Amino acid sequence: MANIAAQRIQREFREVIKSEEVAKCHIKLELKNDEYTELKGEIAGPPDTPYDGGVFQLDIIIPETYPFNPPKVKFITKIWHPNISSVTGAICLDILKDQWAAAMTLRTVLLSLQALLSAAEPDDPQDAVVARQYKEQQSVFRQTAKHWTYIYAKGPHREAELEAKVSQLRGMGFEEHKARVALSTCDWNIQRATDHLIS
Amino acid sequence: MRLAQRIGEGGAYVLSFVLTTFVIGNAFHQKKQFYPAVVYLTKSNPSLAVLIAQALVFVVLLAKLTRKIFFGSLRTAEIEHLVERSWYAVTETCLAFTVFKDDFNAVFVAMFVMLLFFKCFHWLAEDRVDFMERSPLLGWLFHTRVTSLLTLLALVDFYFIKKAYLSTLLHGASAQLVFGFEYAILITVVFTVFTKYMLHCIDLYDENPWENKAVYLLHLELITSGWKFGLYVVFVGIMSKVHTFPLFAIRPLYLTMRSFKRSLTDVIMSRRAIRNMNQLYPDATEEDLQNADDCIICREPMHVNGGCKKLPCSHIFHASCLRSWFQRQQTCPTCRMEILSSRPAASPAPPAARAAPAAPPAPDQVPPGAAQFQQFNPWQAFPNFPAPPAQPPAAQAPTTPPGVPPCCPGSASSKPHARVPPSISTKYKLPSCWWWSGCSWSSWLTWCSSISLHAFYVHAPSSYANS
Repeated sequence: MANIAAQRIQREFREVIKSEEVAKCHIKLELKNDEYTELKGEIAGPPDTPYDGGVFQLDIIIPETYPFNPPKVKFITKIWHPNISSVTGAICLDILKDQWAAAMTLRTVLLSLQALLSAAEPDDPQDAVVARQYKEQQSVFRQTAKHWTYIYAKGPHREAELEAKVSQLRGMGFEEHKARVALSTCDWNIQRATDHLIS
Repeated sequence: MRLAQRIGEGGAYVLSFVLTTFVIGNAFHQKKQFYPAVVYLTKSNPSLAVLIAQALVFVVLLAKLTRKIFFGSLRTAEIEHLVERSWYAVTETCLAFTVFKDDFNAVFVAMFVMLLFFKCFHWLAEDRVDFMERSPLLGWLFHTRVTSLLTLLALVDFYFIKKAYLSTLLHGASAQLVFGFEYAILITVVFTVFTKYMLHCIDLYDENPWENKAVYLLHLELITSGWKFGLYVVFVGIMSKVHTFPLFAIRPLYLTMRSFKRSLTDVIMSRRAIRNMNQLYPDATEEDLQNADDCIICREPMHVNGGCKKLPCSHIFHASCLRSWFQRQQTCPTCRMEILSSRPAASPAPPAARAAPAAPPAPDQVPPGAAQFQQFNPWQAFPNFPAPPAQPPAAQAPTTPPGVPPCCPGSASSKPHARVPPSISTKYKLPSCWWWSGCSWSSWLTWCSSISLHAFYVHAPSSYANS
């Protein structure tokens, strides 16, 4: 890359390594190749949210035109959140799209994502199913998000009741992740989830 | 899944080969001699159907071979793009058939298949060269492939344009006119792709960052879209004069008009912003730079004689960085103040940055079709329009630490993903609705008219159709 993208990413990379958030294990950045075009990010789930204690991995791709165009970021770790697709990990965040500004950095992007975890925008959803649950059944949403955090993001809060339901469906011969998605979609109603899986 | 698909495909090829062998064998077995056998083959409908299917299989295989030679394997995005575009191309050509009902014969169909065949490779070449920017390592294979493919395509296009031209001169307007224009459009595509390829190559093999590349790309876009638009207008004009109104050209005409308009606005806006920067905004002084940190765009330190500019909102950047940014968006990279709508104050004091949250997205980032709408900025159009809540100037003072974007005042503890205020988000929602309605409107019109036209041609006496 004969442009400022590589130079800037190198500087930002050093900046993140030295920043105090890293010291507190809040955010982390790793290189995936030597050209500074692909990186792996990591953010901790913010406290007082269902994601507390979880560690979420992100896939970051730096375009050639960085910093004039935003980096492409998506979640690798599966997560239950209204603004993040539970299937692909795609993120709905304005600063990663049309509200990007050249002043933003990878560090601020990671911090913004962390803040997105603590303040969802259900009215501008990426995952309509999750957004509906968030708006209509807040407690079920919190439980589900906690459960997903425990299973996929090494979270500390075990939801024994939900786990039992997943293993019940597994006992019926369904694949574990599919069973979890169906149950989460159907507000943990086993009957409806089974119908959902069969149809 | 993919395996099953491949087996299915292979099965179809084998079946087609077997059937063809059988049909030809049967013909020769019955007629014994070459000439009667050929006559038999062309007279019998089932045999002809099998042979046509076989010909299509050959075309597909040839396309695959060419793809293998010039492209290797395709990326998923390329395949999706190809499928989508071919779908439109097929529909439009079917509409063209209705206009040229009299010319409809085997040669015409063959010409059409050939056109589609070459079109596909033009599209693929376009996608491949666009991808150059993002692929770090490009070997000699890539360059050989691209240059040879583009040369080949240019020759093919040229040949067909010439052919269409001569045919039109000799026999008057016929379906050849359509083909001639199609290839004229395609040769424009070849030209664009080749110029882009050269620009990317220069950029790749130059050690220093090439600041002006974006300017060249912007102007290239403007020239080619203008040229294409002109071609379509001429085509529609000629067609309506000599034949009938070419309904199948409405969609491409509309699309090229839109992209021409968009690139024109891009060029004008960025030029205006850059001119403003060069003429109106002061160079940063020693005093300014002492208070400022590194240039927030490239993160390099700024020096007095290094060409640094101070925007009306008193944010300071390298002039070269600012130029690159203005080619994409005409706002302050730090506080999003609209550069074009604000009048730079005579004194260096920061004016009230009123349009702070209303930064319109860069035209290349918005969904297609949004261009017309995003130009509409109520604060530009109506000076008396109630301004959005202005951010206190203190929040934008140059003391803001670098790296903290305006929508993240403080840090992660507060809500950093400041959404656009409701009035603005409706502004953003509009374009997509508008685009859809625009699209469906034109496609509706095209479809309805094609159906009625078709009915007209089918049911009207043939003397009508010739007039």
